[in-house]
Amino acid sequence: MELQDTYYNKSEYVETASGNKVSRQTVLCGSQNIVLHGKVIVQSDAIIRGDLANVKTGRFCIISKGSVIRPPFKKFSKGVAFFPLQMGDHVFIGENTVVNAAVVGSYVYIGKNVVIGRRCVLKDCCMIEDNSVLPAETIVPSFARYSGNPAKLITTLPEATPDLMTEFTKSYYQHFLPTTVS
Amino acid sequence: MAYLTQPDYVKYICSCGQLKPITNLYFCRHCLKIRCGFCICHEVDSHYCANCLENMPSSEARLKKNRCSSCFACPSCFHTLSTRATLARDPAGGDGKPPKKMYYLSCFNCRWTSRDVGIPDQPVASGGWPERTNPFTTRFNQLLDYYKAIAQQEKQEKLDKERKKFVTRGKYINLTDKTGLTGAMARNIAGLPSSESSSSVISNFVPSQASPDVEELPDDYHLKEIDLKQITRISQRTSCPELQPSLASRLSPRPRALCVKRSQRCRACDHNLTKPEYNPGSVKFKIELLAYYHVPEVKIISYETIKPGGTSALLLKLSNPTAHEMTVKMLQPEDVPDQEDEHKTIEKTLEKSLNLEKDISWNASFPRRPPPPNAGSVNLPAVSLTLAQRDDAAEYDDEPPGDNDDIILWRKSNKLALRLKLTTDAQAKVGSNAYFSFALQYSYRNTVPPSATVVQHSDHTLYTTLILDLGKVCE
Amino acid sequence: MALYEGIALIQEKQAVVLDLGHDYTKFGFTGEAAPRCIIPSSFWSPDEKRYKRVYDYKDEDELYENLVHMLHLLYFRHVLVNPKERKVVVVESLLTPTLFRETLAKVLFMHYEVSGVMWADSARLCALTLGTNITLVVNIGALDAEVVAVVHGSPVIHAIQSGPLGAGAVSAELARLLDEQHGDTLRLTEHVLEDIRVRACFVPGRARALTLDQPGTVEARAVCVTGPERVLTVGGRARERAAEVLFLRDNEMASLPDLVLKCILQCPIDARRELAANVLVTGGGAALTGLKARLAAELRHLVTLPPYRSSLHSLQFSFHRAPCPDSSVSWSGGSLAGAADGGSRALLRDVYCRSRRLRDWPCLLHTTPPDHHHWAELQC
Repeated sequence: MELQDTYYNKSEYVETASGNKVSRQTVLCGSQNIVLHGKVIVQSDAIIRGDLANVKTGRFCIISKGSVIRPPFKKFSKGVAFFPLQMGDHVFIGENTVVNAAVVGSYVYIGKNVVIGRRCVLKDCCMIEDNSVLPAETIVPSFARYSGNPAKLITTLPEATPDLMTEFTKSYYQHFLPTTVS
Repeated sequence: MAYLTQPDYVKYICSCGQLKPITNLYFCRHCLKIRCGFCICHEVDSHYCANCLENMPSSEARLKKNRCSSCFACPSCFHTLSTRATLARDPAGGDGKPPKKMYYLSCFNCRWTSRDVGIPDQPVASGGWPERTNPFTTRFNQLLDYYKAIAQQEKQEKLDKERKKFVTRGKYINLTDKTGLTGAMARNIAGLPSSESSSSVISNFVPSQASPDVEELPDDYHLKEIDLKQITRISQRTSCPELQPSLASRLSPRPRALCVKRSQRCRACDHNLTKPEYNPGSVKFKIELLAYYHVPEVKIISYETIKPGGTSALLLKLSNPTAHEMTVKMLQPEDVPDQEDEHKTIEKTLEKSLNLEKDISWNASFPRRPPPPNAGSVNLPAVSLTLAQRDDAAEYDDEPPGDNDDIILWRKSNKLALRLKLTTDAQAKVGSNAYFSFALQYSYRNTVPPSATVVQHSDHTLYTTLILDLGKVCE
Repeated sequence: MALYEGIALIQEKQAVVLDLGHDYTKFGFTGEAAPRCIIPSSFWSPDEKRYKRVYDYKDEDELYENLVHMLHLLYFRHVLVNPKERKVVVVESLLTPTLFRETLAKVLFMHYEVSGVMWADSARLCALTLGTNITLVVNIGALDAEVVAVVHGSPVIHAIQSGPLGAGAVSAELARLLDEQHGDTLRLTEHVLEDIRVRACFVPGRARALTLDQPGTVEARAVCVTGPERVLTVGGRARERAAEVLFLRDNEMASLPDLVLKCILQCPIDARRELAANVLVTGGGAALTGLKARLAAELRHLVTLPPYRSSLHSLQFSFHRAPCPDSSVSWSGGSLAGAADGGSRALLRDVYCRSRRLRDWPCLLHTTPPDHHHWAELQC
């Protein structure tokens, strides 16, 4: 099924020169530490905690409504340190999802209402299904499809996942249109 | 990705009869057939640990029973354990030595730690964790030796019997007869004990001793308070098949199981369909013959609700994933010529004739489910449609307006949107599945040179049948 | 000749042992003391987007697909070897439906192209783990309890007893008792029931079981089981009575101890004493706390009653302990059998491909001795 058009209020969104579409209703803490690499959509009520550490995303990432992107911390004997959060290209993050991962690879699909525990590593081409909880420091290998609480490998993804994910994020971007005020 | 989150609206019929979405199909360039995970041969390619992403040579993996040597799984919830460091306080205290770092394993999901079961902290971060041995190993090996000895004896008796039948050799004593060299060597090579000891193995074997006493529960067992947290769940027991501990205090960290990368092979011609790269972190493939890259893709843009006896509009998107121009024609499924006959005329290569001996009887044993009954028919245009080749640069170009007519809605580089009409049977039951099917005839340019010397493209006309799942028939 | 055989033995890949139970599947290599994995007999069905049990099938085609998926899971997720050109030891019950056997053979030989399959019945394999000549195997599985007498390596077919007295019967009774206790249909899932059965239930001794229905008996302590959705109180009644279904005697004489005694009764008279002195209670269902002790007590009591008293009253019962956990005894036997003879008893792939026929004991074609007069009659 082809994706349907999603419309947004033109006054709500800021479009940058590199094609990022960022809602004004978001909380971007420490915006100098946040790098969106182009054609990234950040939808309303998303929170990106750049004040804790650097957050970098690749191209064609979609950060849906109400999701939280938060760099992970680690406790040491002398205190707490935050680590930067890196995200590859063509990543989809569903609504109301909390991402505390250290690394999110490219072509990763994270569903709705998911909790990604701190310092998780999501390798390229993996999928976390809706309503899953990934415990801290989980490493999700490529082509794995995780689900449940705690999330477990349930099956594998098809070999064409990189292309499917590329097509999905690109067409999401193309179908993300401003409402035309007539 | 929409394929993974949505139900499968469009299914292709694989050459083995299975219905699969295009993402789960393969395309064998040598047989020019669609294959699926069900009708191809899977092979283990390389072993790796999904946690530390280290490759392990298969011989080593076999030796280590397919378990990683550095990663452990929680025996309680099966999540990966993390190594945590603490500073060990010297019990004597205050002799000036800096406190030593000690390590223990801890689970971040269920908070189980190796200290819970009394495993002492280790001075090094990796390895050194005590392994629980199987208490039955000795007895099991005794049994194994015993049965091997019996099997050996049986075999020997059989051989002796056969030897007695042919009284040959005359008066000369053969070297092998005299020394029994070959028999002993064979046993030696096979790792079996020599024949002399084998009989002693049999005579020394003690069968299991039955006892009239069975462990009884204490009389007041029903009044005892039991702590269910101390009794393991069945999944915790089965995760350790050797011991199957019933008490939580007997759980121990288990080395994590390895994963494999698979390569896949066409069964009819033995060519690889997919072959992954060796590196466990890589998502690339050395060989990747997926239907998604070779067969025209059909996607539903939208459709009107299906009513019995009515007609509904259907918008379809066709795209050409190949690097060559493609001509596509839509047919009714029953108009597809018999694929088998055509197959023989297309390919008569040497390869094929060599493979004639190959047993393809597996094909007959596959269950071939008949495709689901259609709720109606698709009114197909009689024209051939041309799809341009895939061009990744094209998306940056400004689109020239395509040749719109009453069938073609729009045209963009290698994609084409069609407007079709569906006619639903008047007898279609309300609430039944609305399946519609049609076939595609498409031209395919095979870029695989038939031999090393002739570099020539060959063009083929191929067919594939699709089934559209348009929800339920409504009133 | 002998030399070449030796080489062939080395080159032969280590065979695998498959015990495809109703609830749990045991899978591993021959010659190893324990299976590599014990996993639920279910797989992720991509078509139906849920876990599906292997034994959920309506027809042969569905079973074929289920088995293909299950074996794929076992080979490529757990044991990580190529199925091709490798022998398989299949542990099966003597009462396995023909459809299941034939479909499994088809999947193994045709789909996975294994080089040979050794079909072995679980009773004989259980007896192998003891090394005794005469054994009475009481196998309490997920659905059925099966009692088979194994005398000098061959099961006494006409004396086989079986009844729906497996772990599933205990679970069903447990569900009924819990509904009764809570006065509501709880609709507990199989997993929750299994968890309660394994962790909370026990089988009371015979002395206590007799007093269960008397007024004034102190009930067993209740426990709280934390399920995925709620905390459930399991009353003492449910805890100790769930397994009573196995011992419930009625006119049909179909309780577990009755099955054992009926099996002995139908065996040759000179083997009976030995059988009673060599009882092996195995299977996943036998792991229930207190079950073996109760079975022993019931057997000793029952032989003093008619109809057994006249012919079995002097039997002394003794019990074996297998050298492995209860649930994997038959698997371990398969591992021993497969390793000992190096697969020489296996049905080879080319043989199967030629005749497409499995040997089976109910089939007269396979069980009629070659000098039997029926063959001669068949010829004319």
